[in-house]
Amino acid sequence: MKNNSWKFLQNKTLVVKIILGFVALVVLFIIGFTVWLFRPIKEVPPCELFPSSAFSFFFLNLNQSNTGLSEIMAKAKDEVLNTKMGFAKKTLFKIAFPSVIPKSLVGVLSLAEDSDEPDLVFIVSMGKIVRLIKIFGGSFDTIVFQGAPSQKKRELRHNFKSLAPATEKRGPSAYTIVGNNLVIGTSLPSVKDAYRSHIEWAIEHPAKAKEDARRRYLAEMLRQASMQRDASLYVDNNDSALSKIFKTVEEKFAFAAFPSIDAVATIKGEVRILTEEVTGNITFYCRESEMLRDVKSDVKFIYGALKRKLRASDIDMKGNVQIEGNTVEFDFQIPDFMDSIFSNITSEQGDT
Amino acid sequence: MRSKLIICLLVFLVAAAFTIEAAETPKFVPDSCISVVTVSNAQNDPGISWLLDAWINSPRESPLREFFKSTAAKEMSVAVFPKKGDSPLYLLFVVNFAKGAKINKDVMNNVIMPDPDAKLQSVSYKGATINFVSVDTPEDFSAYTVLQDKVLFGSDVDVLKEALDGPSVEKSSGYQNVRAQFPQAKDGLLFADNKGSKFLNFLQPLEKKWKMTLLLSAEYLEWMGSSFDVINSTRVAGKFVFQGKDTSYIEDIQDDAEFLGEVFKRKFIAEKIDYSSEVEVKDRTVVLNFQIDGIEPLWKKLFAQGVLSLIRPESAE
Repeated sequence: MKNNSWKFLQNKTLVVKIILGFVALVVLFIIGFTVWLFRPIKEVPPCELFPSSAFSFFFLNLNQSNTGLSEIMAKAKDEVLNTKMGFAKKTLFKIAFPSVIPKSLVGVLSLAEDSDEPDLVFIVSMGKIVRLIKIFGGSFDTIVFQGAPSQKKRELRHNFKSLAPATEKRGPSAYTIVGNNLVIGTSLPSVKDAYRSHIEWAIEHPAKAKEDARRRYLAEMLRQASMQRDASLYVDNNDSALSKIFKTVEEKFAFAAFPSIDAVATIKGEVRILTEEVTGNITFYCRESEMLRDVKSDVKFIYGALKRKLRASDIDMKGNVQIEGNTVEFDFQIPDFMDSIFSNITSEQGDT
Repeated sequence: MRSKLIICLLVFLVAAAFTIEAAETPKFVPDSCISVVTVSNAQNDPGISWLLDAWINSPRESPLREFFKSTAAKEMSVAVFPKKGDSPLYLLFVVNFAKGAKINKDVMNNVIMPDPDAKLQSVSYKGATINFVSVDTPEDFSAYTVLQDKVLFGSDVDVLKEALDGPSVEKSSGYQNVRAQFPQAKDGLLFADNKGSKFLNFLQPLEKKWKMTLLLSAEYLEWMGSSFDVINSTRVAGKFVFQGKDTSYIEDIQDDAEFLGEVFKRKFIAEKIDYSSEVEVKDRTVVLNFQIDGIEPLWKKLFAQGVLSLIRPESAE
């Protein structure tokens, strides 16, 4: 009897030791994972990731100290939490929500010399959280490539993920992680080009002096934009990249949407997201003053089309187009922006 | 989508490219219609007769085209009615022929019987014999009746009965106003009635399909009218008139008229066609005057595509 009790006590101690050991391992793993996740990360400015043939960018500041944006985020969070979602998923979402929001989003349009079709690259500054993509790569690929087969490629001593060859293109085609950024694009060459720009950022290329100068100018415009407004837009049409795109689209649809585009040298825009409304201004800098009236007419038409397109989604847009010096100024305002956006989302959910 | 929109606007133009003096056919169009287009001088006017010939000789097969090939029409009206049941487009088509013209019964039967196995039936109503086929959702027409020198084709028997019952759109104040606006109208007249928001309710489902609001001021319109002169195969001149319910939203109506003018202009620039227009505002009326030169290739493209398919909601994407 005494022996049996002794053996039982010995076994119990062993079980407790195993449990404690397991707990210690879990704690160590969590500590290790946290240290790995939150260790310093290489900060790469988005402007270093512009593809060599970039001619335009738009920038969205997702900093949550912005009142308008933080209200959109809060509403979006409520909308998601109001959907049919399990308790565990809801709790995880509540914890993760603020941290998974990127700090900024930059969309860069580029046009290769021998192409009529522009490439779009998104540079998403995610901070340290970008490391999670490395862990949950499989699930991330399924979301990005919409379930299509993908492949891993190592080039320029760097890893890239892209759609498998001969896969039908439905959205993004490739992505990579550069420092704190997720770089995701409509083609693998454009994503590779963005990475090459980063590794060669400090190198002067006498043979590509013009390209380098334009890229550095765009980078400077982005640096300025990121310090100012909630959202910005910049288009450099000095090499007629935008003209080429418009002409291709106009021929395809047999419709002249912007016939005076050749007269526009650059386009600069700013958008302010406020709690009740969105306001913005887009300036079209013209090469020739005699074309100002034509540019104004085209901008007014595009505004009219946009206004009618938004009205179909119950979003009202008010605007004004006028000539100022050598520019055409387009000021606009979208009142009750927040209500319109979320009522549309709600009605779409209702439809489905 | 935008090219469809343009062509749809051109349909109004085609439609309106056919009317006017002492028009006979609108008398058989009930006032419940949303819009009616009357084309006259079909044989005498060089522009209209060219248009008819171009349509008859276009590559797209249409039973109605065979009907026109077989006989000479003097005047015609096409009316669109509020959607009924699952029918995509609810139509009435009235054609007036020269007195004594022989109308081939087989050709008329073919218009309502694309399926040769369908059973032709008939019913008498107010002294007229209505021939029809029973179909759940007719594509264009499923019934017709002959009244002396006129033939009425309808999406179903009910619309023909309504045409025989009246009252005619001619008696409505809106239509009379449109006629008064265009005393010199030559070839075509279009009337779109927004009484009880009829035109607005017709336009909204189309706009939903296009995912674009074409007329921001549609709810403030009392009626819309248009008159065209198809001068010859290449030249068209005419005007659109937008009549507001009052003067409160006249700027919105003007904005719509200017936008329509711009849409036309941009389409014609792309097609290398000369186009000029101007917008005038007077009290609660906005007028868009325009002139087009070199439109012949675009007419042919429109006929090849099929005119009615453009305003059929299901195909309006």
